[in-house]
Amino acid sequence: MRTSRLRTLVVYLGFALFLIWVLFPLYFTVLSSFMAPSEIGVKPFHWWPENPTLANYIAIFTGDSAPFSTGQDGGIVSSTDAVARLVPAIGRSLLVGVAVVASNLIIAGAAGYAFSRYEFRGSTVAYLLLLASRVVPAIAVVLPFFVAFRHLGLLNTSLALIISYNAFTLPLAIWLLKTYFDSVPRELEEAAKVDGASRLRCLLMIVTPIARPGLIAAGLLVFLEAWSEFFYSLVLTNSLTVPPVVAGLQNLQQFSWTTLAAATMFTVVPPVLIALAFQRYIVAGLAAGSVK
Amino acid sequence: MDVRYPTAGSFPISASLSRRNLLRGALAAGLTVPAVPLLTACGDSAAKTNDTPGTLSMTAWEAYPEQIRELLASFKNQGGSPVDLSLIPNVGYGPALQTRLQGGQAIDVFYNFAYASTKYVDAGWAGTLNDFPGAEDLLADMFPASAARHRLADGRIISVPYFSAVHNLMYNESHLKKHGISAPPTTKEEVYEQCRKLKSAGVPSPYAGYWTKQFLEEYLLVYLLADGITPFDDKGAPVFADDPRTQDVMEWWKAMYQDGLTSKDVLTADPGNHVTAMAQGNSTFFELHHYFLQIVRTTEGPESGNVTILYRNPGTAGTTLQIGEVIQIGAKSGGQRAQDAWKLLKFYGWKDDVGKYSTFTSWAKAAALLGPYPGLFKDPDFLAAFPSYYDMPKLENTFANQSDVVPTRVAPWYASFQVKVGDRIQAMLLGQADVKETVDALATDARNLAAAGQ
Repeated sequence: MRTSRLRTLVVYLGFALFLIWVLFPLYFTVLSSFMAPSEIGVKPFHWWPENPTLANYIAIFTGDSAPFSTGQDGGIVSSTDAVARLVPAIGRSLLVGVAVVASNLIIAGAAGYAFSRYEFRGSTVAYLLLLASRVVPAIAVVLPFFVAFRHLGLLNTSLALIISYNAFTLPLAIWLLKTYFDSVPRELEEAAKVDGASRLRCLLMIVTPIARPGLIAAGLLVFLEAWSEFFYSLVLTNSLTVPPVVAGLQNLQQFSWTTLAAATMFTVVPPVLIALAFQRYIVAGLAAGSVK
Repeated sequence: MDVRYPTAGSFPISASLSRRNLLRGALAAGLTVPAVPLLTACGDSAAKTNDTPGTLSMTAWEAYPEQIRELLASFKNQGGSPVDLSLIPNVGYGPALQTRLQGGQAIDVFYNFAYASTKYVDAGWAGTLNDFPGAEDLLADMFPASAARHRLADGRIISVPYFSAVHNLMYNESHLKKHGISAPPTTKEEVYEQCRKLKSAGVPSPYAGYWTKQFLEEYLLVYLLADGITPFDDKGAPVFADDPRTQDVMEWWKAMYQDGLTSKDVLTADPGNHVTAMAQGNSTFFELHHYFLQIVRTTEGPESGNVTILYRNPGTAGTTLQIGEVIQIGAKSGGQRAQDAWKLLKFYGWKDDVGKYSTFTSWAKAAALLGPYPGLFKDPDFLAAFPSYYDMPKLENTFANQSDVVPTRVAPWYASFQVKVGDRIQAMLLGQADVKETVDALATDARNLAAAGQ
């Protein structure tokens, strides 16, 4: 009995430590977003803002990059206008993310289904090659993309990001969906076929509704990858999306941690809301195929 | 409708509209989209030059964008070309710029890190400036020591200044008085002793420095120069390793860290942490670029107003490192376009059309940045723009007589050496490598990298 209690205590203690480890950075970011810069790094550590302020959040909406400028002799001139560009960047990131998800689900849905249902000469090799492409770091192929988009006149456009993101999200989505389609009983399609349904109708009316958790899980992972992608946006555009804009808040001369924290909170909200909305599908989607 | 029953191992039902082909097409699309850029873009030619006058393209990192736009508007008002500005965040600027240039983008004028400037010329991404009218005059207008950043030993002029700065020790005057220290330190031994005293008196982290891996190379040079040690000879050989005083400097450095005279996170903390530590009184000394005094002063903290600057770095020689970044001209600009780009370079990195240092005055006002020109220190507009708590004659003296740009820093291999310094010095500070071993290894690194040319 005593051993059992001790074991439970250890488990809970371990869980509590894990939670602190995971959540403390988030807590620190939230805390910082309500502080003035002079309170950051103060010793002893402030667990709660001494004079809580919304100035960092207001700055995001007003585009004021130096909300705490004192205006003294030689007062700080803001070193960046990134704050003013954050809200439009969030809009563009959403647009790019949604477009990448949509194109991924259409292409990867069809490709994943084909991999699952058709065996053709070289299909295994093709599938393995597809998975192997995930091993190539995206940064290694940014130059060919840049040249291609320069010739096509697509530099500094959202379309450039949508096309390039598809290149490294599609293999992941195809793999996830193929795995999911494998778990959908073929007998359902066979029965539908017997009743006269076409292959496409089977896919749309029978398989797709059953595969909804897989499609949502794949879509969410693809969205998160597109949302947080930094380097392609940096190279192919003039900071159209959120990550490079947030990076613009940092430089050697000025490091506005509190404004950066508020900006980070803004950028965290959309993916978190989406993940919360669809969380019940995610586990089911990712666990597909684990139990026969 | 043609229905076939499934056979083992496959489900080869085909409908009239060949949906198998449709699905195969989708499969093919899934496979080929990732490969498209690879197939389309290999071997893009980058040799053509653009001679057509018109809107110039300029790429800069995202520091003071409003000032940049104002300056470019002013350039246009003075008869210069219109400029299309592209801003890239500091984080990732180098790789992004390199990718764009390598990808054949024509950029007429761009900011660059001084350490990368020679490499860009050698790679054919940036042009030399020797043939442009006034290039020699521009260099002649500089402090002699500063010109070595822009003119290579072989005579090629590769860049003009974007800004310059010197490393100085900032210190809290009030702290020193309060703890019975009558004057700021003049040698590194005094720095150590004063820090010990301050630590015993309760100052948590008396000495602050931006000792992250990326910046340790600057500190290595700062500490060597302060004691009169020549880091590299004219040919770029690491002669610091032959000077026995180098080991003393390194021992001092290691003791500063291991004896707890810095904050525990000094090897990873960003400058913002140190600025706060100075403003809050948690640190008394802060070694970094002179313009950080402005940031400390304008950070609202109880000790911000007590922080001042020591214009002679502690050490037997008192010399310091002069740093600065540069502006280069794109190699694809030719003919009249190149002349227009050169005009922008002169405006941005020297004087405007009416002979005033308007760009540097703008940087002085925004961020207390300097330029490497003695004339700046005689220019009333520039002096008025600079924060009043700087002693400008002393700052000028530091530039003119007590600082060194260390010309080897623009060698093509030097960026790789900087990485090595970061790794090796941090290992030494952490006690994972001894001092002699570190000095020898650094010298070997420098020789090997220089021999390999990378």
